[in-house]
Parts: sequence; structure tokens; C-alpha cells
Amino acid sequence: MILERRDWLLWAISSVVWRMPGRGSIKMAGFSHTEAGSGLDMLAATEETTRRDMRAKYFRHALDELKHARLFKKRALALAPQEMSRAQAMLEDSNFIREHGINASESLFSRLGELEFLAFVWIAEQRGAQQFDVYTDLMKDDPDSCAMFAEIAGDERFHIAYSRAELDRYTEAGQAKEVKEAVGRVKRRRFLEAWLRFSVVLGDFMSKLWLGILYILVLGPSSIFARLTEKQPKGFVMPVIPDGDILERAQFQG
Amino acid sequence: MSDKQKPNSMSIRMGTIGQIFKMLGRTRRWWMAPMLVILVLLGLALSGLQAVQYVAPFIYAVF
Amino acid sequence: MSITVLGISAQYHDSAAALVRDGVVIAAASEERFSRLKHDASIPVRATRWCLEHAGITMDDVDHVVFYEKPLKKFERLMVNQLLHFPKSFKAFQRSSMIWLTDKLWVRNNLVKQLGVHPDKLLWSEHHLSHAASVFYGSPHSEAAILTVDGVGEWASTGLWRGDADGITPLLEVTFPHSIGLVYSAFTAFLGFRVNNGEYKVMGMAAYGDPVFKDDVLKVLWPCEDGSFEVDTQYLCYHYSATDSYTKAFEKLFGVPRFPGTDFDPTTPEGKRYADIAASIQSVAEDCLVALATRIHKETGLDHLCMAGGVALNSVANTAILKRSPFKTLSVHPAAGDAGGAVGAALWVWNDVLDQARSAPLTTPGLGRAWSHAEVSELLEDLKVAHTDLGEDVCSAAADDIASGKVIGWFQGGFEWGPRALGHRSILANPRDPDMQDRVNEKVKFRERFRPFAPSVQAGAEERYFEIPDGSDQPVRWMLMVVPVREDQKAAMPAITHIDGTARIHVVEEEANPRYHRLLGELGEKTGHPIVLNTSFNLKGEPIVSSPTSALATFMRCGIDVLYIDSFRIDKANMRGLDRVADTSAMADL
Repeated sequence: MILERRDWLLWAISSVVWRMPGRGSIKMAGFSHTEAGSGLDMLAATEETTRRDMRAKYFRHALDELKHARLFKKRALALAPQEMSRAQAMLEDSNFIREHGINASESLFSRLGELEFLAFVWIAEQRGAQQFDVYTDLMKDDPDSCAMFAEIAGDERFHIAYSRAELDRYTEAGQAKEVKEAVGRVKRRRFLEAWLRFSVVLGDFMSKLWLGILYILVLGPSSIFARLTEKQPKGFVMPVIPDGDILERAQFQG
Repeated sequence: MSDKQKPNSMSIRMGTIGQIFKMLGRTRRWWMAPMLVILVLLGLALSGLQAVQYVAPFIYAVF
Repeated sequence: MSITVLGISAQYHDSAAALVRDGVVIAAASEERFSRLKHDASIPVRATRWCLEHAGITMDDVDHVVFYEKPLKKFERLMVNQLLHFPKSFKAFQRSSMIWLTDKLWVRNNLVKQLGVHPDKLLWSEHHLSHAASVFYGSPHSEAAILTVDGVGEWASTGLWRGDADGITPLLEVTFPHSIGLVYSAFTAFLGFRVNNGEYKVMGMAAYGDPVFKDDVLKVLWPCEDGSFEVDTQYLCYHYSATDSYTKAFEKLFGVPRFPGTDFDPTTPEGKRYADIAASIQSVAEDCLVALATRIHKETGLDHLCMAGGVALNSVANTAILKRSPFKTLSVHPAAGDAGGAVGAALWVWNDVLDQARSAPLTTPGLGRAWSHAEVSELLEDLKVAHTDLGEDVCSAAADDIASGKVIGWFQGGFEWGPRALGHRSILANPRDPDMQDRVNEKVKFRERFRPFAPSVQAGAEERYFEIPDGSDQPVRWMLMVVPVREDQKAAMPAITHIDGTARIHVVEEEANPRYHRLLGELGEKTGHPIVLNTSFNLKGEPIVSSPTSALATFMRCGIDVLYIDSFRIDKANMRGLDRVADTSAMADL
């Protein structure tokens, strides 16, 4: 079978990544959060859509994603080594979703609107299915993981199908141009998002580097002053009420 | 938005920086001023880099 | 002219928004309920948006927006501490500075941008002051002593105040790194639980042990003669470490830490040791709190004590304070943690800054968003969920289900303010069923075995089952106090009776929650006992449900038998189409 060029790249990267010891468990922990986050996206879609006929579909999709989150979590813990594993820590981290996914105060649905949201679902589910095909192949020595990916793949076929059917419905209703544009926007945005993700990682690295340098060069000498001048009181202290009337004090951030 | 003229983002930041130094004056921690000047400048530079509000949906990370 | 104040807490744990109009809290909600991310600490855009919608106003109509603490003071404390502990604070500096310098320091910008508020409208309260205001102005007392105890605010970890007609006056404080909250959290981490999440599990574990390690704990934290307390920082590193809270010296004293997620069995020597350590820190914390309360009684001479701050969620300690201090009554703010600061800051602005007439006390927990009958009906139809509209008979039907041993989801009115479920978003079951603790655990919660559930009892009937201490009227109405179960009732209600014969009770007044009160009445008529097992309506790791959609999603993923949303009854047995989950045994490994 001839894979698309992109799949070869995915296969190549993944075969290195997934063969690293313990990596499978960590990846699955991350996927668990991804699924949970998608589940939240779908629940938000259920609540916000004005199309009453879509609510049941989004809701079913949400339950599937939340089920997948549970499956990945279970598998991640099963694959993790005995001691306090990084996978376990990742799963416990309730900030993970906010740091790795949505960083906005609006749901994906309200940001994209119904049509583009469906386009997004269709493309993202296909991409996910592609990735899972590769991972199933790489983990063929692990029947439990393969079974899990197979179950998830089954659900995803439904997700791909219903989102495609809806897009087709919009096309038949005379909105072919809008559908094409929405799909195009989603596809292009994936590159921008990949760049954004990369730049966040790079930015984090640069920040850490600079802060490290400053810590030694700037905080070092300042710490001498601190040790000389700071009193760390024990027990009770009298609170200091600064000058000024109460409204003035309330306008001050410090 | 408000009908009052809203100050822009930079002037709000300047206001905050002014309050930082006002606070140092009150708590008599002037020795921290040089350090904070450098850190705040770094902070402004780093915020500038991350100026694009990172908004992206969930993916299965490849790496 | 109406005056509206919006209070905001954000950036640390549990962000929230609260709207106070003419001194009355008309809406209050934690952001996590909207975003569905537990302990969401980001700027509460959704909660704010809902509060304004609920009040029928826009941000321009709000007179003042107040943030619950002084961010620059907090930043100063962080920097000073990192300097004092150079070079050990390297990692902490890298981590915290990155977040502070790019985000938290510019909270004024963030609030302006994300909430759409004019910068000149912004006011800034203080962390402990917000806690103090939340409880004092939420209470019916015209004057009271106020004690605020938590991990740390800007500089203070503990505040002693006087509240009266002149406002809230600070009397004394204890500053970082001396902190009961942070030491308790260090023990929480040592005992294998998550910090800022598992503290009440330590409280639960303590009942299984004896304070045989008290002398060792007193080397770490001890009460002083004058009512204050001190901490020996050689055992702790929360003041300079990015990730840890206790040092090797601490481990030398208390032994090997408990591995997170392992089973806790108090019958084994290792389990008993952990329980003993939990009991020891609980005992020392209580001693410190009682000493603080005694001191503040001496300073003020008042009869009423109000408490807030994360440590006030320690309901066992609250009982000790009421019993052992000279105070006649105790009040605790229901959202005693950081979320409560949103309400507190707004009430402080109304009462103290604007010097208006004293605000009305908090009477009902259901300050969050509600959904109308029509909205729920439409959703159930669209999702093709089989349901029956019972109208006025909903309480009777629910009582029947509970009496027959079913586990029900109960979704009524606006969701609760604070971390406790108080009959708006609850899971209910029969507390007199001997197997109920296991059944609820198996079907829904999958909670650690050593943690009992809590009961709700109809007001007027509580003395039948529990020994209610004098002066505890307020905390028992908000599930913030642990009381002894009557001797003759202990055996009859194992699901809600802890190993030491106590329960964390919730007394339901009609005024606070009329429908829940009626449900208990119906249950009382059918079974003779107007008391129910009440646990929060959520799965492990998720925030309490907020909307009908989130309630249904939770219902579908666990073993609750029947769900009541408004007057609608949804029976799992009748559901078709969507997969039905009968229990959470699949979650056993999680």
C-alpha cells in the first residue's frame, strides 16, 4: 500500500518517538487530555448550536471523546512504569488542557461558527484517524493498545461520516463556495497553529535561558542587599495601613 | 465598549510600572529597583514575542 | 440610583466573578463551572459574562470592578523570598518569573482586554481583607471578630480583624513563611495527595489515627503563648522550591512519604503510621487555630467569630474552634478559598469604600446560573432522551426513588457558590442503607474508601441524628462543620458516619432551598427519616456539573440510576440509543 507523502513523514517520526522507552505511556496521557478537551468542545457545541437537529450528534460525539479520554488514561497508566511516572503526573495536571489547547475564553464552536466547526471536525477526525492507523501499526506487539485504537477508530469513522454528511448538506443547499472556503481556512490554519505551538515552545526556551542568566547576574548581587535589609518577622505583626483615604488606597495595585 | 476614551495597552502598562516603583518607595525597598527595571524590560520583550494570543484547538501531538 | 459592583478573583486557584447590586449578592459563580476545567484560575470571562447577563446589564453599567488582591504586593513578596533564598530558588524563579513578567504582573491590562472594563473603574482589594469581608458582610452580625487563615495572600498568611459599623479593621497578622495553610499542604503532599485539592482527605484520614507524632509536628509548626504560631523553615521548602513543599529534614522526621494513588489501609502498620501523622498535623493545626481564636477574643471581647480563607474549609477544626475558644457563635464563608475573594472584594467596596448601608447576609447557596423549564425540555427533546415531566410531584417521586435504594442525580435551580453541593447539583441516596457507601462509590464516585459521604437533613430534624454544638447554626447550614452522630444513630447510617462517629452535616432550611427542603420532607413522610446522603454531582477530576448538558454527560458516564432536572425525571433503565453506563468500575484504575 502506498502511503501519502505526509503519512510517510508521520510514520517516520512516530516510529522513532513511540519506540523510546516509556514514550508510549506519555503520549497516551497527552492524548487523554486531547480527547477530554475535544469532549469539552463538543459539549459546548451542543449547548451553543442553534441547529436543534445537530445537538444529538454533537452530544454523542462528546460522549465518545470523553470515553476515549478514559481509554487513553487507562492505557497510559497500564503502560507506565511502576514508580511515579511522568504519565501519571501529566494525567493529574489539571492545567494541561489550558496550557496545550484552548487558551481563550470562547469555545471553539463560537469562534468558528457552525459551518467552519463542522469542517474542522471533519478534517481533525481524519487527521486523528490517520495518526491512529500509524500508531496501531507501531504497537502491533501490544494487543490491548491495538484493541483500544480499533475501538476509537470505529467511533471516528462515525464522526468523519456525520461531519461530511453535514458539509454535503450545506453544499446541496447552495453553499458549496462557503464550504470550500471553510475547509480551506481550517487546512491553512493548521500550519499557523503548528507554527504557534512551535513558537510557544521556542519562546519558553528563550525565556528560561534569559531568566537563568539574569538570575545569576542580577539577582545574585541583589540577594546580598536582601539578606542585609530584610527582616522576616515571627509571630504577630501590626498591619501597616498606608496613608491616603480608602478610595485612593483601593486604586493602588501594591 | 465604553464611551470614555480608553487608554491604550502600553499606557496601562506604564501605569502599572509606575505603581511598582511607588510601592518600592513605600516599603523602602529601593535596592530592588535596578533588578526590577531589568526584569520588567525582559517581561515586556517576552510579552511582545507572545503578543499573538495563542488560540488553537486540541491536537494529538506528533512529538 | 442602583450601584453595581463586580468582584473578580483570578490567577491562582479557582477564579470567580460576583455581582453585588445595592449590597446584595445577586450572582456569583466560579469560572470552572463554565469552562469545565477544574480549579480554572484564568480571568473569569465566562463567569463575568453570565453575571452581567443575569443582571441584565453590560460592563459599562457596572460602577466599580474590584480585583480581590494587590498583585504588585504579591510579586514583591515572591521576589524578596527568591532573593533571600538565592541560589536555591533558581528553578522557582525561572518558572514563576516567566508567568509573572509576561502575564500576572499585567493583570490590569488583562482585565481591561478580556473583560472590557475601563481601567479607571478598577479597584484593588487585599487578599485577606477580601476573605474577611466575604464572611463578615455575608453574616447577619453587626459586629464580630474575624479570623482569616490560608496559605498566603500578599504577605500575610493569617489575619485577625474586627468587623463593626466602622468597617473592617485589621488588628494583627502573621506573615509568610509562617503559614498554617502551607504547612498543612506540605503534609498533604507528604501523605500522597494533591496540594490545594487533597487537604480535606488528610482531615478524613486523621480520624483513623492517633496524634502520636504530635511532638514531631510541633517541631515544624507550633502555637505560641501570645496566640500566634511559628514555623521552622528547615523542614519546609515551599518558600523557595518550584515543586516541593518539604525537605529531607522533614522526611527524616516523618519517614517515607506515602506514594500517591496507593491504597490507604489503616489496619496495616504503614497505613496506621500515615493516619497517625494526619491526626498529628490535624491536632496541631487545631491547637494553633484555637490559640488564634482565643487571642482575637481577647482583643475584641466580642461573641461572634467569622472565619474565611482556605483553612476555614477544615470542618473538623471549625468544631474544635467553637468548642474550645470563648466564642459563642461561628460563621464561615461557603467559598472560603480564593473564589470567595470575588464576593468579599465586592462587598468590601460596597460597605467600606463606598460607605453604604450594611449589606444583606447570604441566605442561599444557589447563586449560580439556572436553566428554565423550557430550556431543559427543549434539550431533552433534541437529544431524544426519554423523560417524564412530573410537575409538582417531582419531590415525591425523587423521595420514592431514594427510599427504594436508587442513586439519583438532583439538578435544581442555580448552581452552588463554593465547593460544597447543597442540593442544587447533588447526587442523593439513602443514608440508612448499609451498602450505600459502596454502591455510590462503585456507581459514581470511586472515592477512597476511608472517606465517608455527607448527609443533608431537614431543618428541625437535625437534633434527632446529630449532636449540634451551640453557636454552629451557620456552618451546619453550609456543610462547614463536623459534628458527632448520636450514639443510637451511628449503626443506622454507616454511609455518612465517619470512623470516629462524626459527620459533616448540612441542615436544610426552607428559605435556603425550598425544593430540596420539600424533598427531604417527602422522604421523611415515606421512610420516617428526612435525611439523605448528599455528594457533589460530578465525576472524579471534574468540576461539579453546571448546565443540563454537563449533567446529562455525567449521568451517561456513570451509574446514577435516575436523573432529576427541574421537574423532569430521566430513568437510565428507559434510555435507548445512547450508550448507557451502569457503573464506574471501568474507572477503577484511575
